Amino acid sequence: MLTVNNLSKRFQHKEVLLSINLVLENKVYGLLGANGAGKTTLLRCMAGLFNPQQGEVLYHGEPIHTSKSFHHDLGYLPQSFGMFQELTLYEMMDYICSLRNISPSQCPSAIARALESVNLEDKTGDRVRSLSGGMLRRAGIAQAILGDTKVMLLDEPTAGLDPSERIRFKNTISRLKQDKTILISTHIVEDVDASCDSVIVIDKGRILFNGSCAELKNIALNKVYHVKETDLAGIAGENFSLKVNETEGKVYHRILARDKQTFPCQEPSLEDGYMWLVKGMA
Amino acid sequence: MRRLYLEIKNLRFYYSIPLVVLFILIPLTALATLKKAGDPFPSFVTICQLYIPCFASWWPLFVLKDYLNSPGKELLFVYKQSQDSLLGKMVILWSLYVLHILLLFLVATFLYEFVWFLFIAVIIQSLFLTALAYFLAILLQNTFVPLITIFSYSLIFMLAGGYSPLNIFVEGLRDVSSLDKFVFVLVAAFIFLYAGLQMEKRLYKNSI
Repeated sequence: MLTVNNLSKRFQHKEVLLSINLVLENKVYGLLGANGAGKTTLLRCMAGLFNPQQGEVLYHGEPIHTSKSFHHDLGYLPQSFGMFQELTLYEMMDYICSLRNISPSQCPSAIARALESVNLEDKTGDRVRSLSGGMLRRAGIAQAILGDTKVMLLDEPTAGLDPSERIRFKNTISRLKQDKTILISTHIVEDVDASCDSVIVIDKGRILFNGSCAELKNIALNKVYHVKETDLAGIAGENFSLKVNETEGKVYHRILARDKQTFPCQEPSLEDGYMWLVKGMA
Repeated sequence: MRRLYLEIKNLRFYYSIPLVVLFILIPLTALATLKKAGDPFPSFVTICQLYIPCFASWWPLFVLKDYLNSPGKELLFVYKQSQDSLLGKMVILWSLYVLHILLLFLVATFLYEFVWFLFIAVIIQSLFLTALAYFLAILLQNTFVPLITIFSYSLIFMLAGGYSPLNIFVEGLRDVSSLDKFVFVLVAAFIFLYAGLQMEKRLYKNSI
């Protein structure tokens, strides 16, 4: 179990994280937020890379900096990945196995399993510099799931992946999630909906929501409307246009409105709940 | 050691540069001076101090490159927190370089006298420049500027010569008294290593 207690992080005079409190159990969590919301800083603090000005991160009740098991159990994927360009993919994975104290006898099988999970088993002999951006991203995911990882902190893991690889990633997470704490930072709502049990919404360094995907959807229950463009003037009270689409030559808006409207109500999606929160309509 | 082996393997062509300097360039230049009239030892002293210490920083800086300049540096710093420090790598790479220098000097004993004083001087100069490279690399989060600085320093002070408190090189090494200066060079090297280690522990974490 990973616990974040009253964590605050400031760069110069800019407050990036403000009194964050989280308890992460063995589940898949989606950390959802806009660019600059503080997702990466939170992940870096949780990985022990940044020292917070206030608060602490505990792993099974012990601060991560003194915990002997945390760094062995941690699988981390940063936003940018790619080092040792002249080594082969296998050698790079071997290097990370060594860094993560995975027993040398277990390395070959751990590497084979991890690379197979991301469909890179035929690239083991290729040099890292010859891999494409998508392949490098998949290699990043593979190193994060190496060995007996119990905590996975993944910063935008699906960025740069093609649709089939994104599906494969979601399947990999579903297969691996037993007895693991997985936190996936992303701004892609569909990824959270497809792979996560719980969702944490962060905005301007504060946690706005921490609960199940269904609970986040329900926040926007009876607040989403399908409105013809010509009827927009008839919407009462504060509202926000989420999407515009065209059906049979007519333009429709998907509207989030605080007050009850006369227009047909829509089933809320995760994106509706998220937008309701970040637009300050809650 | 497995990690260091892979880091060295990652250098590929760049690994061989100091070897070419130590075992081809220096012997050839030294052999050329043997044909000159007079004592060839002062020329050997100059050649060794010009080439050997500055190339001591070559392997360390190229190994540091992935920790300081690569897109994966964040990951390396997350995983290495409970592992070895970069300072440890610097010391091991300097030791490896010293072993290579030792081979060169073993051969040189057949040609010159007083060669062991020069050996001690050169390994201390090598440690100093390795320490300076490590300190600058961590300070600047960059490996190119330290490389240029080290080579410029060596060229300027070796070729311009003269007395300066900043000059770690000496002309004519023939006895123990010639080594007095190297006590200060050694102390300065340890100061740079210590300062680099403190920065590595404290500053780097918040600078990604």
